[in-house]
Amino acid sequence: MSFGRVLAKTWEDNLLFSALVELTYRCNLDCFFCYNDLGAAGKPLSREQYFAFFADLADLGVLNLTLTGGEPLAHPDFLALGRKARELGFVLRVKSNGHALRGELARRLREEVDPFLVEVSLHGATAATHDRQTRVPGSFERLLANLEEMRRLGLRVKVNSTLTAWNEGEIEAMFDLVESLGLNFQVDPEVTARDDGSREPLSVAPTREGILRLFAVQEERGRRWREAQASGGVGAELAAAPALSSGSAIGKGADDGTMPVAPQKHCGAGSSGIAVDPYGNVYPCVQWRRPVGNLHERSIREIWTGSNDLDDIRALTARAKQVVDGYGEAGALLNFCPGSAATFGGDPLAVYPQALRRMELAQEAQRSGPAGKKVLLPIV
Amino acid sequence: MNGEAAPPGFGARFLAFPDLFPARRAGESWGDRRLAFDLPGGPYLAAGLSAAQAAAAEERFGELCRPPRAGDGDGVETRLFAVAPSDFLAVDTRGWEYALDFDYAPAAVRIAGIRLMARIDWARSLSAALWTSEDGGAAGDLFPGIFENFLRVVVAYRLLEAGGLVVHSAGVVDAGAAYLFLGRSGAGKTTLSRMSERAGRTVLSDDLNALLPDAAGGLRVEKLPFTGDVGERRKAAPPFPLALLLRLEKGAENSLQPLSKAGAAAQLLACAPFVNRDTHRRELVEATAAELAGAARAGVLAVSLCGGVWDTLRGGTP
Amino acid sequence: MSAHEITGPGIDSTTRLRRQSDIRFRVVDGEAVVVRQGAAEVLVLNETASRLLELADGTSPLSALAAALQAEFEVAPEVLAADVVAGAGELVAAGLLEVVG
Repeated sequence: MSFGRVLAKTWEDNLLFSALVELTYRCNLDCFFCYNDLGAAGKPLSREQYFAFFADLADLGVLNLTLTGGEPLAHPDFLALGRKARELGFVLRVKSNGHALRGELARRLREEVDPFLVEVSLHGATAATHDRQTRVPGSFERLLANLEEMRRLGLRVKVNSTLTAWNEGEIEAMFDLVESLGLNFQVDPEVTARDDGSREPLSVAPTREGILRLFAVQEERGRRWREAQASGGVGAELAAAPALSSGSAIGKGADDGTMPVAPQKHCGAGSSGIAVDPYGNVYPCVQWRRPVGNLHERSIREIWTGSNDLDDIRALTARAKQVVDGYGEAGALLNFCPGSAATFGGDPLAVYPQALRRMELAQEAQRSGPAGKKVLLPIV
Repeated sequence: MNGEAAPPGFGARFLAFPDLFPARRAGESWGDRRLAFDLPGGPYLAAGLSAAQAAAAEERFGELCRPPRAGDGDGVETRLFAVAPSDFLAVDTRGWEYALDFDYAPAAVRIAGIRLMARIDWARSLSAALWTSEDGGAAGDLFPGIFENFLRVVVAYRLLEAGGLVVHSAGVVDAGAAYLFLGRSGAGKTTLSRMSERAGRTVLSDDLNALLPDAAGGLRVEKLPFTGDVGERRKAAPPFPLALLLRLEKGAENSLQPLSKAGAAAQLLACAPFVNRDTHRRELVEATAAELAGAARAGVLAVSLCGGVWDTLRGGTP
Repeated sequence: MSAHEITGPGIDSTTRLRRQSDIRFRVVDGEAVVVRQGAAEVLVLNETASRLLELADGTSPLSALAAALQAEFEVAPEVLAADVVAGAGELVAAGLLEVVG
């Protein structure tokens, strides 16, 4: 048994395993590069509809539920939905900007919802850079203060960031900052277009030099962590855990982005995962904004088993694998996303410029890494 | 950009979670109804209303409210969004005068009130958004009052752009020209308005009127549907040339005295609600008040309990 | 290694076990995918262990869980009983189950 094999099974057999739900597009920050389509309209789902939807997800075997937005905590039923998610046994992730996560709201999140993880976004190592992105002065200082409070409350927190032309010059400082907070940090080197197709966010895409610098920093930090493990530092207790006997009933993994073993598709979009917007529209994933059904009209079970659009998506992800395999070993370095391809140029199988650039830069980083040692790149 | 180091407790009187105040014009709409309002500086466009909200707005604003037309493109647009009652605190208004909370910033103004969150932004041009939990449907629903309170602020900012001011005043028409009586609460605007109306004069509003420059270098008064107790609330009226700008005072006997340009400007500033506390547009507001005062004939009108104010106005020259 | 050594003292057919409060799991084609939230760890269980995890609600002793599983697995009762106790011990050691007092 391995988690990788289970994941592969979910992809192959179209077993729904993960769902991401955008509860609202209301937000208490105003990030310049936000991908939300603010022109989207429709009838929001009611609390009862969400409850029924969550129950259906649990019945279908979904383990991972992510609540996001906009700012999910701004949804009037957030705490009720979070409690329901907890009751139904999901591994719940909450993607919040963290701006309001202090005081009563933070306490209630911990006590009533107790999510597996709160994921917040950091946009710079300084107030000037971070607030430039959020367009809310004071948001940087507020985030740092709230992170401290969240940790005191016992909330598990992870920090995410997207590399941009605005913050690429302080990426080392961002790693240092997050490390000083004792938190995990994940950086995505790619800015995506807006879900309505607007390329305005791409105007802050990072430079080649910025991406290379990020890869170098990630490699260096990864190497330092592995060395610390080996020498008994942080994480050593995990590395030193006694191996289970061969007759063990248990296979181990970690929440580190384990990839499926020998997949037949490029990704799990529409095969093991879905995304839902505030109006009940169901998508293959958060990035691929081709609707495959609407929860006002059909249950998720009906959509999952009966949507012709989903069948098409699944076939496309298989073809996407062939497209990426066509690049050989370097294909994985594209970090190709059919959803991004569809948003960027209309064709989910067309490798878009950012993916090509990513592959080229990753190859360059590999060449300039420590001699004879392959640079390990994180899976985003 | 939004409020820098927002005033301590902005929204704390009204909002359950002030930290969740929207920073962008986004959310889930009440519906897909759209309306236009023909007020000074307009049209003012509203989008995202429910059918009940649209009906309530049409009822409240009468002929000033209509469906949008092709030519409305440049109007100030407000988008309406739905939020839950749980976003707001229960407020007991007994014993205090309800006033909106404002947070002023260089390119935006945030507003919080009873069942109301709103923002006015100057990203490219003036635009606004309103979040309310009132769907306009139930009897006693607060939506008309909420929408009006919000619209008053939007109109004030829109007229400022046009070189004018919304002014706390009684506006009364006599012989084809408008007299603006400036004064805050309790100055006697409503009493004067009632008296004037009984004598057959048209009262534009006993609470808020619009003062704007006209093309010929003079000033005009435009009627606003925002009244206290006196004045038509649902019909349009033509603009009137300004006859006199008057600071209203109580006195033992009626009198009309001159008021300097500086005095008139100060009075306009004091009576320009919402914008006169906006530190980021202070210079613009002061300059506008000075421009308007410079073009006006102004005086100080003392009003006694004896009546005969209009004789005083006609007979005297400030 | 004896069954006692695997399970540790205190676990036998009379023991009642329940799931630890911080675990979340789903069964995918007979195998339970389990997340220990506090440790951010993912584990995958074989069929027997998966069923044990599902059945361990803190009210029934292991002997009852074994009896329930007897209907599902074509295994000699004494072998199943031993597997259940051993498996339970592994799940306790892995932090998925806890003994009910």
